[in-house]
Amino acid sequence: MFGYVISGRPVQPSVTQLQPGKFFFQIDDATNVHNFAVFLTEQNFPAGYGAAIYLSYTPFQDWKYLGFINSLKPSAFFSILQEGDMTMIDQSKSVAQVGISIETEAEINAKQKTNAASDNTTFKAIDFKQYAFKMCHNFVNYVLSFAVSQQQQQQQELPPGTKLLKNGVAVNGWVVTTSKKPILNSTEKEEWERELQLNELPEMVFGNNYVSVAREDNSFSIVFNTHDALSLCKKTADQTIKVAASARWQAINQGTFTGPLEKSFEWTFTTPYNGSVLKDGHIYTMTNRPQSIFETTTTEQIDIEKLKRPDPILFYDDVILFEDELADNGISMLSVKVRAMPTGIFVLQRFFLRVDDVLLRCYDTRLYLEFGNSYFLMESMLKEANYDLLKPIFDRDPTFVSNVNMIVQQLPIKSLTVEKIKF
Amino acid sequence: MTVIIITYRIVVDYFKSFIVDIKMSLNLDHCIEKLQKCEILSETTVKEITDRMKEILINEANVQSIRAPVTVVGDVHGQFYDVLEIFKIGGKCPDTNYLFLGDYVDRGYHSVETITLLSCLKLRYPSRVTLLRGNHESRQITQVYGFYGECMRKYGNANVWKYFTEMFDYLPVAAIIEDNIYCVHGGLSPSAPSIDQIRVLDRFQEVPHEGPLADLMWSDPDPDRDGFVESQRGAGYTFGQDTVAKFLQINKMHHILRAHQMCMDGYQVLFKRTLSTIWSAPNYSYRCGNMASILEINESSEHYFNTYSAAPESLHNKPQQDTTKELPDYFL
Repeated sequence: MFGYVISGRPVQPSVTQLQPGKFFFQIDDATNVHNFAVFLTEQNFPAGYGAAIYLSYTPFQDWKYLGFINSLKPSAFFSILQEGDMTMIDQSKSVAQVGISIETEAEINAKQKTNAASDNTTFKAIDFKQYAFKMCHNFVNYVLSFAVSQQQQQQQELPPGTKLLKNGVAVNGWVVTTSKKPILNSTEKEEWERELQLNELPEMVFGNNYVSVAREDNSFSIVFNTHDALSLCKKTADQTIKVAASARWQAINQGTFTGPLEKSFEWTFTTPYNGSVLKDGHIYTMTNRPQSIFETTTTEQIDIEKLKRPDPILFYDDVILFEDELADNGISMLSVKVRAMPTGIFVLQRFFLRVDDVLLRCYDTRLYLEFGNSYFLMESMLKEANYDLLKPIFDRDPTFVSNVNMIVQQLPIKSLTVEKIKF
Repeated sequence: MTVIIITYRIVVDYFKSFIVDIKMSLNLDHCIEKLQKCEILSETTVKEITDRMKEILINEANVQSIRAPVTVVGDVHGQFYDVLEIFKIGGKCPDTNYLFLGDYVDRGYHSVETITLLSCLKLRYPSRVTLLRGNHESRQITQVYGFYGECMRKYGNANVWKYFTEMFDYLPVAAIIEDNIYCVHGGLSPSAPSIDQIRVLDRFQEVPHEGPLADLMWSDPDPDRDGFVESQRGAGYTFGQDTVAKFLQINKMHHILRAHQMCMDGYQVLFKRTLSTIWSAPNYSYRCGNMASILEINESSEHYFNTYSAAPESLHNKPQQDTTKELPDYFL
């Protein structure tokens, strides 16, 4: 008398009869079923009667009225999509049974009314929740459709004249490359110490790391490397800087300790290095700046507004050149960030020094090549302050101590030079 | 005689293990299992652990005596997955006895998990695990170098940091293996030429800025200079080969084992093999590319540096706030 179809499954031309006027069929794996249809297989369904359709889950105690079919409406769809979404599935609802009961039209009409009424009250809340959930879900899907991985983005958006390299990028006749290797071992460090005439090197010397911006034909390049940076460190210590414990330490050790001082070295590893310029077989660092290449009288500034534009970044890297923990009295660190865009190349080299409770110091070198220009702009800036300047902030939240960007923003500028570097 | 001593120690250990278990509402095995998955424990559990640790540590001497075989571990600095690697290559607790030379926290991403795990192992096997104090086991240093910030991030308040730093005040400062190997985090102090002077120091306090306690945790050997030499930085000493020879002679020791300084190869042997540095944080700070080692000492005091490199999980489990650093950024 009845047949049914569960969406996505074969048509079932019959149902099981329990007793006269009562039928049922089972839906296995019901959590994956969204809807089903029940239909009459015979034309001569008695007038004045209808087949009421009920749904129940294990242990099949409560039967929920879903709707009806009769001779005027010989088939109907019913939704059993469970509340919520995949994440909220109730595993106890994995098996459902559908009951079919022959009832009078009057009985069915009464159920229709109560169902409609309850729809307006209890079920509305669920509908709203589902609606909200689905809306969010659709929104997330929509937003995600715009997301592409960094690599995809690069591949899609590579402008003409651009080529991705293994450790860099070639763009507009310029090649930007970086190198990131382990620190020097003790033998290599000893060689460097001899060569650089330094009694001590930073604990972590990333001697094979560098950032290089070079013309494609290698006729001109600017490189930021560890060796040249350390070569500009002073050979002996700056006696004006001592760690925080020093004063008390000296007082207590007065008289008890008369031994010699350690061989002098600039233990803060402060370096004013702002890159090495290579042209016509010569290397120019900040100690040697011929006017034919370096124009110090310029009034031009690096256009920060242009750099704030979210131009696509074709290549980005963050390379550390050296680091020392000052025997746990702070940090001394030299690192270089670079980004290449279709509009230009920008480099920020930062030397940062924090002597706990004593001193904060920063040498920033910004290098900008705007494509179309025949020169780089280089801005070298020294910022420095007594630790006391930021001590109130650190005392409030000690995690700020390691927030270099925040600290540097707060430091007052001690000196600033801008030069044009012509290639 | 030796047999009697060993039997006595085994019996004592056996009974001690019961005492600990009965007293404990804490399920240590469960805690250890959880920690090995790099999951943190609740604040109240940490409180219980540190309280129990203090009860054990208060009874330990400034200079702990240890029997071989034992495996000695240097700085690990919160590199949790590399600590798990140590137990893989060196053997599990309690199958292997361990002596840790300090610097459990700061710099790495998982200081909380690391120090909680080591504390639980110490509680579970008190006579098989020895934890010494390093210069990073201090309130002042952990506020600057990461452990404080990590506790704030992971627990939302500073309680766990407070519990652990209170516990740090109880850690012993030195150990002697088989009456002939002297072990300490940093090195020697001019104000404590004899080990007996170290035995009577009041160690239950924050690491001071100066004096013998500070020196033990901060000083470094200097292969180029004899004597105690004052640092350029204005605080701290280096000590030379003659100082080490004198110390060994006065105290009838054969060797000094210490940590505190990173070594590219994981260890460094100095001064005609009278002093060794052990470093147990491979690829330090997740970028140095250095090796690490643990030192295995057997019953006849023969030793072997077991070297290893970074666990693959170590880099893969970087927390979010660190990985974002490597995404392109519009720095100015």
